[in-house]
Amino acid sequence: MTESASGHNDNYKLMYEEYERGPRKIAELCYAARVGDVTKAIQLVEISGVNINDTDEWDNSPLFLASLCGHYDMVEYLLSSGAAYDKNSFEGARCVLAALTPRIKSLLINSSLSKKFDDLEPFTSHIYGIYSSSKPLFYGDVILQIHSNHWKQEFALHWFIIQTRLGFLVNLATTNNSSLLIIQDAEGLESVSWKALINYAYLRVEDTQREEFELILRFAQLHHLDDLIRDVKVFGDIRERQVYGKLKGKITSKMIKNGILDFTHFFHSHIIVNKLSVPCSGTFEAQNEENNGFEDLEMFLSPDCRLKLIQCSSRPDMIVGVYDDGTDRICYYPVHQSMLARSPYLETMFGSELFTAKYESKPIKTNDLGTATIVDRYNLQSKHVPVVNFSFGAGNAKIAEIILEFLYTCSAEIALNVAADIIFIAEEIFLDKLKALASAAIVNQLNTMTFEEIQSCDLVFKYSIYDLIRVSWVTKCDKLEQAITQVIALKLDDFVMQKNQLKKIIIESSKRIDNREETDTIEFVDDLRYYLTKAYLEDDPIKYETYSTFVDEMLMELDFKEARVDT
Amino acid sequence: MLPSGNKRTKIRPPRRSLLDNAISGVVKDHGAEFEKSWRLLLIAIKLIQEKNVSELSYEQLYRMAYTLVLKNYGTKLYDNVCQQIKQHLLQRRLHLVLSDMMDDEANFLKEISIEWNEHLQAMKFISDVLMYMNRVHVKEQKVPYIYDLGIVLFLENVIEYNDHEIGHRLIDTIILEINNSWKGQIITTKTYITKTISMMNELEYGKRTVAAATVTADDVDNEGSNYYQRYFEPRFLSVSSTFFSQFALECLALESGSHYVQATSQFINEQESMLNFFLSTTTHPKLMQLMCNVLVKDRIDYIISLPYENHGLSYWLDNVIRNITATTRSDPHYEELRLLYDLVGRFDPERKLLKLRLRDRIIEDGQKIEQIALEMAQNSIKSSSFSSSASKKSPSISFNSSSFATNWVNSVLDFKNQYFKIISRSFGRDHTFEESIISSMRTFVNKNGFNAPEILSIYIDHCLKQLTKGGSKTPVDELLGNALTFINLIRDKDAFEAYYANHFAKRFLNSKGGASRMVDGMDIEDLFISKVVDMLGLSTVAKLLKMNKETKLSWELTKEWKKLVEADKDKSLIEMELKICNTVDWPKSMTKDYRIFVGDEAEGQAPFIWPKQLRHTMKQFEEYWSLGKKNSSKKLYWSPKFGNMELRISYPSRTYDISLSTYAGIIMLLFAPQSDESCILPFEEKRSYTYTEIKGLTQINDADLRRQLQSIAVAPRLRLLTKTPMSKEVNDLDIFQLNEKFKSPTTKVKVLTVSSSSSSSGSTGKVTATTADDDSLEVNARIIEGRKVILDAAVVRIMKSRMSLNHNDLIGELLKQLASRFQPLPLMIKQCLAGLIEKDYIMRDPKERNVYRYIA
Repeated sequence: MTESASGHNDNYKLMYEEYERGPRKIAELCYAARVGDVTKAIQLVEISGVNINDTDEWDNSPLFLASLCGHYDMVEYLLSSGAAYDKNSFEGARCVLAALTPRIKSLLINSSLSKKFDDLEPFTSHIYGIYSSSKPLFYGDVILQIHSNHWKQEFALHWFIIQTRLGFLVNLATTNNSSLLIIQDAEGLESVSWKALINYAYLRVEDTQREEFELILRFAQLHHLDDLIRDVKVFGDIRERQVYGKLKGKITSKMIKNGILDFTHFFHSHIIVNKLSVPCSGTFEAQNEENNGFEDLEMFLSPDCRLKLIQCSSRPDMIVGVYDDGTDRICYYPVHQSMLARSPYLETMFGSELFTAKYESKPIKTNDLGTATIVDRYNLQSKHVPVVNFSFGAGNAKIAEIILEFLYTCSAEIALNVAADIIFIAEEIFLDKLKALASAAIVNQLNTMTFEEIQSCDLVFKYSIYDLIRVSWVTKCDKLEQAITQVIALKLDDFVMQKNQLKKIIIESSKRIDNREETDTIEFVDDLRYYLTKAYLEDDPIKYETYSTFVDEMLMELDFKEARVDT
Repeated sequence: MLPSGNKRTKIRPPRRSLLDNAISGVVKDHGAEFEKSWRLLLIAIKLIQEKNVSELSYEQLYRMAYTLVLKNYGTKLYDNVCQQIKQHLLQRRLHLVLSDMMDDEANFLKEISIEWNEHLQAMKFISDVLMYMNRVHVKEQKVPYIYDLGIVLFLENVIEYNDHEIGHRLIDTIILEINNSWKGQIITTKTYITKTISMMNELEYGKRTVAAATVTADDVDNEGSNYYQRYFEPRFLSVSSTFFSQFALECLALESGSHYVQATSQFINEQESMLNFFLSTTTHPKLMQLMCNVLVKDRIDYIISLPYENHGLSYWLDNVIRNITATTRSDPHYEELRLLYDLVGRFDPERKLLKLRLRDRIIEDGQKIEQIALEMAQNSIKSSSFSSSASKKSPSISFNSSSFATNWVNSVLDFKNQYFKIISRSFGRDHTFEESIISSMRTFVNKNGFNAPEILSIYIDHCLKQLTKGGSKTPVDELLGNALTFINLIRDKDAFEAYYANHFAKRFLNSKGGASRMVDGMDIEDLFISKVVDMLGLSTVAKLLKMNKETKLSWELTKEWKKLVEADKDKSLIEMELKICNTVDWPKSMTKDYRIFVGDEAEGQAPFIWPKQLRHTMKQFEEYWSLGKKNSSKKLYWSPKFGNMELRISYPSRTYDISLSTYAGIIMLLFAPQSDESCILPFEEKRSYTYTEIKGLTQINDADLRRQLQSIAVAPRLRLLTKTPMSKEVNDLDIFQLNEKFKSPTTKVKVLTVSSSSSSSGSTGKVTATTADDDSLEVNARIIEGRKVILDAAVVRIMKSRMSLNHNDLIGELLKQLASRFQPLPLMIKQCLAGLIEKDYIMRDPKERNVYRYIA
């Protein structure tokens, strides 16, 4: 009786909260956006969990209101907290058009490029896929056995993930050989919680209940596992169930960010540290003139070195070789197939018989229960571990390392002098996010440069600004092209001097369409006009007229009969 | 090619050069550059096609293709690859055509499937290498993926090349092999047939639509989206159709239905599983449908309707009707019936055709049962009369004799049970067939001119009597079950009720006390009525229930009266078994003349004269009943027609307890001492009366009086009275006296009233026969009366709720509402409507004659 009554009460409470959070709260947020009360907005969004992209009863979003009322700080906060802004949508256009000041306008326009790349979902689901998939490509290499008084459980895991995420297990284990970890008397943690812990290691935390994390926290405290305590505590601390529900999204994303830090740490302290570099002397011979810059790097790796790599602390199942022309040496990295397979290109390659035919398939063994199959590290020999030629990174170990870092951590510090090269490689091996990171690095730099600096930007990027446009064309990197065009538009005063280069770009842009018709517009010119209109039409019509005339002139001289689009 | 000094700038890919062809206008040296990479790729592709991949490096090949696409050579690369695949395939085709394999079916199919597999394998490799082109170029140019291109090219350059040279050959070979297997040959090519068929399925036309310029409108029409559907399937179905027709003719050649169902069932079942193995899921149903149409649907009615000699349905079912009379039973042809059921189900899950033909058989055979039952009844009488008497004249059996009724009902039930057995043995316990059979049986059971309700009632009456006499070997349950099953077959339930009420009343009035209804501790009348209530509903049998209730009240009363008699100090009261029936509820045939016994002065009818010995008791009872039992509002009539009397008569030989009918008792009482005081013994007195005197003293009507006198004075052995002159006929001037010489071996004597049928004279015989018919006619009249009332009520009820309704709708509604009781005849409905119009319940719409309106 009492139970059902309280259940009903709970339901009622939930409904009331739903209502509380609903129309009333969004109205409060909209009010805060109008008056520019950032503190209130933070409170509403972070604590009360108001949906930042909701609208009030007149269909106004907080971002629109903040932009309309000219609160720069508020707009900045809303954008950083995930307010949707897409200049191509009606709502987005409305925000820009309504913006009270040019400063807010440009903040909005640039937001889509400067926006932090925090969508980690593809990365985390790949990591979890390594655990959950049954493909041979993703076989683990260690069995974790948990013995308790009442039960025994086995997990097929990957050594490098244990090193990355659950390093303490090695200390807890009673048995620890190349492919078996046994934990006796798993004090304080039930079978279900172990599963949750494994999921946590493979960055799958959103399905786990708070209670599980509390158990894990208690376990961590019992065994003084400081790293684990730090990570799990964010969860375990929160006693209030309702608060937990509201903050869950933020907490999980924080956990995942911590997890990615673990991966970064692992990458540097187990892969980079263990890299071997070999001078290309003596035996090195060009195979064939027609090799198109391609060399078989496997032959430069001596059997001893190869074995050393295989047995190094990262416990690799694959070796990547890269020629570095700066040092004239060949670098070898002990890596993991399952992480490299984040690149669809590499995954296809690993699956193709053209590749697998060259190596013996890895020895495998199955546990006694027949429930898990793992790679048998004990019997793993050189012939089982492929040496992959990172031909796309060839010539520069730094580039190769950036790519590897990206594959392992989903983030990378992109040096400007290789950013454009990275774009090419990302295109080649199908890493769209890396491409976006690299082009964002270039754009952010360009936005801070003066005209003089831009003139000599090939010193920074190794490519001139015009070549960068060409790079964006070839690699289908539209955002980069638009951002560069905008830079040119805003600095057209100075670029007038480079009329010839501009004309050349116009010609090239026009030729990008096969069988072009007279009515077809030229993409580059369109973009240029667009950004001119935005920047000057209202603020400085005279300047706008001058620039427009300049563009027309160029077209005239090039004999393009392009209809002028009046805005 | 190392430059000296360990400097190998060459190893670094000239990434910057990737921009060179970013715009096609600024291409320099472009032919040479492309050719250089393409040469290597071509070698690789050739190696792949020769299954020699060990020397190839995936990274290198991918990179070359990537570079070419990035440098805007995508279209050229695509075309070149296409060209190479095409050339390779043409070569392979030539190899196929020229090799000797073409003559050997098995090898031919094997070779084709091997070629196909190798081609797909090669295309997978090529597709992996050209992954970047697939992702970028293919999407931009909207051309097919490399892998799909491979399929299209195989279709165009191998299968369809040279006017489908290989394609047609392939189709012919497969069809030939499948045909051989139909003919019973064992084929060795099953796996290859499966493989090549799945190949034809994968050869899709849809993939070409984005491909080459050779696309024509008919590629995308609905002829089928792949080679299998477009070319193989139509051809295969048409060849199959011919084959099946041929097969059907072969099966028919034997002119035997049994053979046909066996052969086709076996063939279809075998093919069903075998073809499932080869054919695509889309063809299989089509082919099975074709097979069923040709082998079953088009011919099965012919097979079913084959005459007896040719083993059609009539042959398979023949034993059912034979079994009814046969001494040793033989099964109907369950196996053939089962096959037939399965075959018919292949094209119609409801099996309407089979139900229809079955119905025809049931009605035809069912009507024979009437004759069979008649013969059976005659035979039993013959055999009994042979043994008992010498009478050789063929006894005539009427339809309402209990002997016929029993035989007929049992036969019909037997008939039904045999069909139900067929359902469970051959028709997969299909409940729809149960309904269908019951409804078919209803048709012959209720056919015109045959009074099934009455016969059933006679049957039940007979059985109940047997049961209460303890003479029946049938257990109560079985009898009940049979009777209830049979009620289900009766269309006019109300008629049955009426007949049943009549028989019930007779049983009650002729019974001696409630105990006589008890069998095995159960009141069987109660039991039966309660079952009938369950079946027909309370309202239908309301009268029956009331009657049954009154019988029980009567027994109570009898018991109470007995106590009263015992308590009576004067011993002036006579013990009576009382049977009091309410004239409203009991059948009219029983109660119609209850008034005549008190006399009717207007008609000159003298009242019946009760003997003075009884009058005191009757008067006492009347008082007791109307006052003591508070029945003053009702009027009690005595009916001497029914009931019995027990007399103790001291004949000179000894004293007998004689049980006789009320009339006979009253006649005997005329000869008893007239008062207690009189000390003259009747035998000394030698009182005698003539027939006319007796009639005057009792006022019993002539027919009854003659019958009663025959019973007690003429019938041999039990002559309580003597008649002078001694003859069978009773004449007005005959003189009756107590029979001094009466003797009987037992002291208890039961006098049976002479039955009407064995009445001696022709004239009286006729009279009694007509009374029996009168009985039946009266019941009929009563049924019709009842129906009129129900019909009127139904019409008024319907019209009241609908207010206005056209004629046909009204009839429909009426039939629906009355279906559970009877089927009203159109004439009756017409009369009923006319009556209601006259009585101003309803009227015809002044504008539309067809529409009736309810008058509120």
